[in-house]
Amino acid sequence: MRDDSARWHPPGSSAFDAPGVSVREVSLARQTMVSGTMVLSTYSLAIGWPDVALGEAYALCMRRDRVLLVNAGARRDGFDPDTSEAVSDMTDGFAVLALSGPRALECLQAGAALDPAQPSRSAFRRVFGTDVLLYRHGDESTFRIHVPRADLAAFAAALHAAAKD
Amino acid sequence: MSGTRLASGGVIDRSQPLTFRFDGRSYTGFAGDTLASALMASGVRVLGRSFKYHRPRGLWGAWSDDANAIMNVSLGASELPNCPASMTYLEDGMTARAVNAWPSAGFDVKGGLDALHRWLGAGFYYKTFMWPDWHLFEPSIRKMAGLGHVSVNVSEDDVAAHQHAFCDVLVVGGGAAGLAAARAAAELGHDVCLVDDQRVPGGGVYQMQQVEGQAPADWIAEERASLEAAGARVLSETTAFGVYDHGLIGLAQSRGFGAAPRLIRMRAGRVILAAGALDRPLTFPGNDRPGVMALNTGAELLARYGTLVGQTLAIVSARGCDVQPFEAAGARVSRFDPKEGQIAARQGRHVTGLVQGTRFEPFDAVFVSGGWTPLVHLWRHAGGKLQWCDQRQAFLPDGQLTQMRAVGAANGTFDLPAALDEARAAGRGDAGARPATAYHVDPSWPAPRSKGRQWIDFQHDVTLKDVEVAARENYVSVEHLKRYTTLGMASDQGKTSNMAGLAAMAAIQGRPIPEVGTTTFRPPFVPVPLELYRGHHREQLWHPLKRLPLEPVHRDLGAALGEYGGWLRPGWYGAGTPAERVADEVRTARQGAGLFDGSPLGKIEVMGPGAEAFLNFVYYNTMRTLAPGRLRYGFMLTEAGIVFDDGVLARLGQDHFIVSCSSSHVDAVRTHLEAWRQDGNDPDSIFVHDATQAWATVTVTGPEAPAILRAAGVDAGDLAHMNLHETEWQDTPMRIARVSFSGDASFELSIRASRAAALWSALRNAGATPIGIEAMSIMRAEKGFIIIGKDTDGQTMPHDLGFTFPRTKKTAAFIGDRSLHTDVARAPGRKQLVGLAHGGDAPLPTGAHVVTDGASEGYVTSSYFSPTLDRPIALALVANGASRIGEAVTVWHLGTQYAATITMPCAFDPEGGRIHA
Repeated sequence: MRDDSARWHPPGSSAFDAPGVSVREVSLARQTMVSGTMVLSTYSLAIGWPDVALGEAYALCMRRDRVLLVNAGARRDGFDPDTSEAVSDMTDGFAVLALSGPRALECLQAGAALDPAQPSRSAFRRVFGTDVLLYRHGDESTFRIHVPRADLAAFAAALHAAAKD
Repeated sequence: MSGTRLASGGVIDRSQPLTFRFDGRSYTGFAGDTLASALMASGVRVLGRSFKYHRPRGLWGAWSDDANAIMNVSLGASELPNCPASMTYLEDGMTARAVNAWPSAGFDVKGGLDALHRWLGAGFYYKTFMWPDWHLFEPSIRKMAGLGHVSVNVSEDDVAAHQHAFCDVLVVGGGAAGLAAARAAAELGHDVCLVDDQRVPGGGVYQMQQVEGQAPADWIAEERASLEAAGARVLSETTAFGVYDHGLIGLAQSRGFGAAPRLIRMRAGRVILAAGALDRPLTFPGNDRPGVMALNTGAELLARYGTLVGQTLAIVSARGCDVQPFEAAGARVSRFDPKEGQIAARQGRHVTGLVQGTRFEPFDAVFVSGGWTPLVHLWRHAGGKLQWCDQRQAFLPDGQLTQMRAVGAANGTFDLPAALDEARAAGRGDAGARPATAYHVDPSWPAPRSKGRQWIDFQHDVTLKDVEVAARENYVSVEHLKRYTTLGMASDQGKTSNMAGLAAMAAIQGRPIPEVGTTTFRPPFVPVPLELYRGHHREQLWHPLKRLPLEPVHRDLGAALGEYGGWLRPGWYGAGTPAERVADEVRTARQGAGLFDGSPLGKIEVMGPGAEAFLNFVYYNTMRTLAPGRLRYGFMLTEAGIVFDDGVLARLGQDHFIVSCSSSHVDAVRTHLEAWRQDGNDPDSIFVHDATQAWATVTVTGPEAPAILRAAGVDAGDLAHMNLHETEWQDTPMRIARVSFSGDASFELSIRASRAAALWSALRNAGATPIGIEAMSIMRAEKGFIIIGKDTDGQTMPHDLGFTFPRTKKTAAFIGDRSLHTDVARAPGRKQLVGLAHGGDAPLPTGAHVVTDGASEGYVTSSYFSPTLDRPIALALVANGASRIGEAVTVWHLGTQYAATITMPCAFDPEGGRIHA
């Protein structure tokens, strides 16, 4: 039995400013994970890498049978036989960060091999060792990252460290 | 060797003098100098000592091919060990000290070891220190081993930066071929990155009189300006140190002395290797003496650093040499042809002359070359093969690699015009064979059984005689030769020593050199600090833990947080001794109601028309009969029938299940489910969503739990044990599972993570007392409930835990089924879960063995003092334990024996009345 409370900093705000990069926390009304064999047909505009999502409601492609709907209407968790889709409310499952600034991509590249010239249908990426959803939002120099909530503290710390290099 | 700094020439800045100290004495150099070049210019002859015999060592190489001048260097608060002086750029105020020498490289008290060389040959300590015990000698030998000393002033702020990068064409080497290739590629519009490990690119170009009609500096400047104008990146002081899987190139970029370098993980469409070539040594008596150096070193010191290392120079070269620059600088130069007979250095502490037959001449310095050795390290890292070239007497890149192409001297193209043509063709992406060359080298390899001490490896004091000893003792493979003699180890990594070593072995055995082969080329090409790989992977980011949504609440309550299964969780709450606090929490939960943060518990949703059959297949237990609204405990097994996870399966609807697996096992279980979903099942009818982090789970456990829930406004109805109820709490969806890990009435309340704090507060206000995971661990052990991985091991099958029914009765297929009927599964003496009782006041040590006649029959898996029972309790895996209930056994731990009795695992409320209360 060991008390390691002091060894781990209490998680605080993930927002920070560093030269050439600014990070902010984003609050989304709803995030809904939807799986089904036809979801990429249903949500054909689902965002991958390095797509730019516009507006506040959109779909992110997670894999060939899965999307994450951002700010979509409420749906009941479970399997929907009408659409043959499995639905889970993940609003509290992912924390969302927004990165902007001329060094935003460089900071992310400290933690992953991210090449805008190499597109991917999926927005799923492993950055700083954490599985996240990464895409651009609004313009080509602003990124949004959906981070599993429990991994947010470590992800934000790694991002902050990279931004200071 | 006097060392003369010329009034002009080189790429140093004479307007910026820099002072520094070496081995306690002050010297002056200029900006652009390396430590080595500044010392050479100052007339310092001995820059280091060899590893074994502590023989004086001078400079052999002017850059990465020198393993003699290794120094501890400090500047300000930074001190770094084992810096190659030839690659360390001089800065004002630097202090350097030669490693492996005391008090100085010039006078080393251990220099007398050399007199014992007859008894210290290769393998001497393997043979000498066998009796009576190697470990008697090991500490002092270990103390003598190693080179520089790590500073006690650890700089925690010295953190390497990491970066991933991309380019179409990566050109390695900024010499003539590299610059030409990069320019050609860039002018075709490719995204080009050129890396060069020196501060000023140009490679050996500065040694030349003219390049394509221009002065070397002008040609370099024009090439660089052109390629940069075409959009290419030039990374100077950046070393490509290794090629890794999938074409990843490791680049180490200097950020100045004392600053941790930047690691760039470069992925390139193609790589043009223009790393150049090194002079290899000639093997002759006294070839290790200070003043004997690579011909290229003498030329480079003159061309880059404006330093003439001696007024009288001997050149012994198998590859020819332009002596004009040396003569123009004022030196008297004599040539020696190695083909005309054995040469020997006349030596004191440093070379004083050269003898060949009856010819003797005194010299300040001797420049030698056995021919060029192409730098093919990265080619070999990338999987390229080598071919032996008799004409060049060197290994050259053979065949083709998809991603990499070697050009210039790295490809054996030593003629400048041909190298430029080859490089430009490579830059354009044109195919092309290695151009023909007039370059020719007569073999000048070590001659076995010749007289005198002749050095193969300068750093480790491996001589020709050592290679002969190794051959006599049948260490004839080059890999064995390397390990037996230490040839090519440490910072040299064979750059200067391998060719001579394998040629010596070839000559001793009468085999051709290519038949002997080379040792394996492994990254890094040059030494890099370990910090390069670490970067920010340190402290909290070394092994980051998952964090609870309620962590701020726990901290406010004075929780002692620790790692439990990859999560930072409360072990206990409040001040006082941990044991007392935990005991209080157990008693509180048993008598009233404990409030436990169970958020890490798995909440993996399995949905779809195929979910029922799938889960029935995944679980050992029959799950297809589970009704909606019900819970069932079960095991998941590996294909080998080993218990992989345990937990509760909840059925919310016909096509909707929740796998509540072990807290520390969620990622593994999710992967397990995904793997089996896609293998042998219909993935289009089964969907797996890991919603663990979307939901927080708060457990209320204890006899007062139902009342607490009512007081907090939680509508659990009359929920019976192992039932599930979906409801809302304060307009937020809530799932209430009545399931117990404590043995008391327990309710797991799952709610959106963002609402967890409000729920926790309401339950506390209703009278529940926070308890940590230590208390919960004791309560579950009192009940004999297991923790997978603690109370099970890599051999535990479900019937070892008392769960036998599905093994014999379940008719549907399930993972691990077949393995439960193997001889191993049926073997007598399998370790089975039991409890242990003993009369002492202190718990048995966890891990202690149950022994019979000195042999282990099992071990204690969990052991605590039970506050509920006021006595120690323990769980154990013991051979045939289930049939030995009541048997007295001996428990042994680190020499202490304990008397114990085997019991049933459950020590508290075996009838289970409390769980349904």
